[in-house]
Amino acid sequence: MGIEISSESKLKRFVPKHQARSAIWWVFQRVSGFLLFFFILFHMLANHYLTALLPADIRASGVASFEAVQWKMQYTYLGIPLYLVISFCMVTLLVFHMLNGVRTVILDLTTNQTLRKLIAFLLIIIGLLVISYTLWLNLTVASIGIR
Amino acid sequence: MAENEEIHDSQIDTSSKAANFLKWFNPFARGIGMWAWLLQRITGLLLIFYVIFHFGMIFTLAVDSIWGLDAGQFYNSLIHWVNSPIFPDFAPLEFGNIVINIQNIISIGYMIDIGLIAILVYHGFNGIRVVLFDLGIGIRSQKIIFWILLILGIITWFLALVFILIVPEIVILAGE
Repeated sequence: MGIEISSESKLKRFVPKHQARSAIWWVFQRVSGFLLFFFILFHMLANHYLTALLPADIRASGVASFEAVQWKMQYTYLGIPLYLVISFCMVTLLVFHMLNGVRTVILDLTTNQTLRKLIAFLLIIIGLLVISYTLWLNLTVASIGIR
Repeated sequence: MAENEEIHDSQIDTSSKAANFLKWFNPFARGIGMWAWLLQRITGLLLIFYVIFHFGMIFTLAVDSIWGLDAGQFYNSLIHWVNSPIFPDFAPLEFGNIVINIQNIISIGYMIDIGLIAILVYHGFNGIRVVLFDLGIGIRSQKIIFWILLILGIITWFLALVFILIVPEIVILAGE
């Protein structure tokens, strides 16, 4: 490499002036990615494959059937709707992991700070809407038939 | 930063803009690290599309009560269609006492899962690679780490496919 570079400018390359607060999102992306591995493993096994988790009468209608999904959503352990809580944690992590990934792509496309902030704001709104939708869906399905 | 840190080729802009633009479309102009980065983004976008599809699809859990049908009627017919066998005439696989009814398992849902798990495993394993480099582990041997994780990922993918192929059968055997 024929280009000389001073130690000062070398440091500057790694300390972006305006994005110091983004470091928390950088950490979040790593931690949520790690946690999502276990959440998605649990999700796929519980919702699509592990029939053994279900009581016999529900198992007969199939692991992914409406009856099975509703049973899981109504399931409580020590009064806590455990499945709903796990689902809600997973969806929250998943949605913000996804939208933060979109933000990473957008940060590569533009250096305009105003645009970056606007897009980040929009993504947070979208994330909150998607999370509210899944929560509404979970609670609706859990309450169908109870009336 | 270490004093002897080198600048990577990609950080020095030596060619014209047009040449750089054309370089984008030359697959051999990218190193394996850049392919890993690009595939991470592509798999990430594909997963976003899958999640949008998935969230839309599970809306059918609730439409029955909105439309006044029996609970789960529409959703269950959808699931039945997704899980219906594509090759119902295949002979079951027999390993001694264990019989795997692949003719019942190979369905549109299984096909989707094959692709989905492949994408998930790539995204996850390359994510591990990215985290390792963020922690400063193994940056110098990033190419060999890519290939090791790719092989581990293919093994994981294969094991997952075998697992989801035989698990419903094992549960049925244990239940009876």
